[in-house]
Amino acid sequence: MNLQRNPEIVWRIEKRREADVLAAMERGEDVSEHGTVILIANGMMHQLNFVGGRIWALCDGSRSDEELFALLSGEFQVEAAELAADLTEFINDLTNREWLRRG
Amino acid sequence: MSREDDGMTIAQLDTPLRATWELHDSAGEISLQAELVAEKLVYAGLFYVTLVARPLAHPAIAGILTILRGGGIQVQATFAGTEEEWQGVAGLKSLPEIGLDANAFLSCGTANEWESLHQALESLRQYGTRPALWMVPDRERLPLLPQLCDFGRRHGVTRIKLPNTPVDASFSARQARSLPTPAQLAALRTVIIDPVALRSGLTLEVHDLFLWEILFPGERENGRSEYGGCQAANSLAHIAANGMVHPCSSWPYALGSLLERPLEEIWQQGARFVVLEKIAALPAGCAGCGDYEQCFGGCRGLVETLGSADNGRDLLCAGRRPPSPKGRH
Ligand code: SF4
Repeated sequence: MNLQRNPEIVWRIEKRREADVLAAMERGEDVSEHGTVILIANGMMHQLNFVGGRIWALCDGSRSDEELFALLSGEFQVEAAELAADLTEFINDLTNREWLRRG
Repeated sequence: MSREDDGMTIAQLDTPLRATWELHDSAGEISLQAELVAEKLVYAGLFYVTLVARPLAHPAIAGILTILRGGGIQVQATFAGTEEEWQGVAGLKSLPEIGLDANAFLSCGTANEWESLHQALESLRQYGTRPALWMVPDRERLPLLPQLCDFGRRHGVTRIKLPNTPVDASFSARQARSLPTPAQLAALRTVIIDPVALRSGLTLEVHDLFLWEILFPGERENGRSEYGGCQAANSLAHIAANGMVHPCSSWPYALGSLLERPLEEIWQQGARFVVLEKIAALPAGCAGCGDYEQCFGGCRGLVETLGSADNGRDLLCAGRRPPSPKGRH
C-alpha cells in the first residue's frame, strides 16, 4: 500500500529557506540540519530537512515505495544502499509517529 | 534525511503560521476589504486564523469563511452574543469552531450572568456547534476562573481557553489597570487547592506562564515543552480591522498594511526584525533569573506597550527566581 500523509497534519514548504538550502547544496555544504518544511503534529511544530521534506511532499498516496525510491535516486546522488536504508528508517520513524500511513 | 526534534534550529519563517484577525475595530467599524485580506492570508500559507471582535456580525463573514477554509486554513471565531452575531450565525451554512467569549457575559459572576452564558452556550449548540469557552483573565474575571471551570464541566464544555490580553492601537492606562497583578495571582494560588480536580474533564489552554504554573503545578517539563518564548512576529501575527499587521494582539506595533502589500513582503521587512530583536534581548529585570530559559521574559508585547516598572519583566511576574533546573514546583 502506498504511503500517505496524515491529513490532520498541516504543513508547508518554507520557500526562502529552501532556496537558501539549494544554494548551499550547490556549494557542496552540509544542509542536513536545516529545516525546509514546517509541520504541526498534535499541536507541536516540527520541521523536516530538505531530503525529508521532499519525501514528505511525495507521500501523497499515489506512489509505491519503489516509485519513491526511484524518484529520489534520480534527484539525489547517494549510493543506492545508503538511500534505501535512510528511506526505510525515515519512513518507519514517521509511520510510528502516525504522520504517514499506508492506505 | 532527518526530522527535527532538537537538532535543527527553527528556521526564520516565510510568514506566520497563525494569526488573530479583528473583524471590527474598537469603535465598532467593520474590517474593510476583508475578502482581500482573507485571500492574502491564504496566499501566505497560514495554518490557523482566529477571527475576533464579533466576527460573525461582519457582513462578509460567509465569503471570508469560504476563502479561508477553501485555502486550507483552520478557522476559529469568538462569539460575544450580540444580536448582530446571532443574525450572522443564523445566516451561515456551517459555523467555524466557536470560542464563546465569557468576558462578554461575566463581570462580577452573578447568577444572572452565569445563566446568560449558559443560554448562549445552549443556543449555539442548537446550530450544531460544540463551543469552547474563552476568557481573557483580566483583573475582574481572574477570580471567576474556578467557577468557570466548574461551569464548563457541568455543561459539557471540554475546552477552556485563557488567551493573552489584547491591546488595541488606542490603548490606555485603563487597559494597564485591567491586567491582573502578581498579588492577585498569589491569591488565586491559595484558592485553587486542587488544580488537578479543577482541570478534570477539561482541556485548558493557558497563554500566561504564571497562571499556567498555578493550574499545572509540577508539569512544566512535560506540559509546556512546546513553549519556545514569545512567538510574536515569528510564528504569530495579528491583523487589525484596518488591515495593519501587528506582531500579536498584545502588541499594537505597525509592521505594514495588508491592504497595500502581501504578508510575505511585510514579514521580510525591517519593522518585524526590530520586534524580533526586542524579543531576543534579555530584559534587564530578568538578568540572573533561574527560569529565564523557560520564561524568556514572558509577554513582551504588553511590556513594550504598557511599560514595565521592573525593567522589562513580565507584568505578572512576582520577581526573579533562584536557579532551579526543574522549574518552580
Ligand atoms: S524574572 Fe520573571 S519575567 Fe523575567 S524570566 Fe524570570 S520569571 Fe520570567
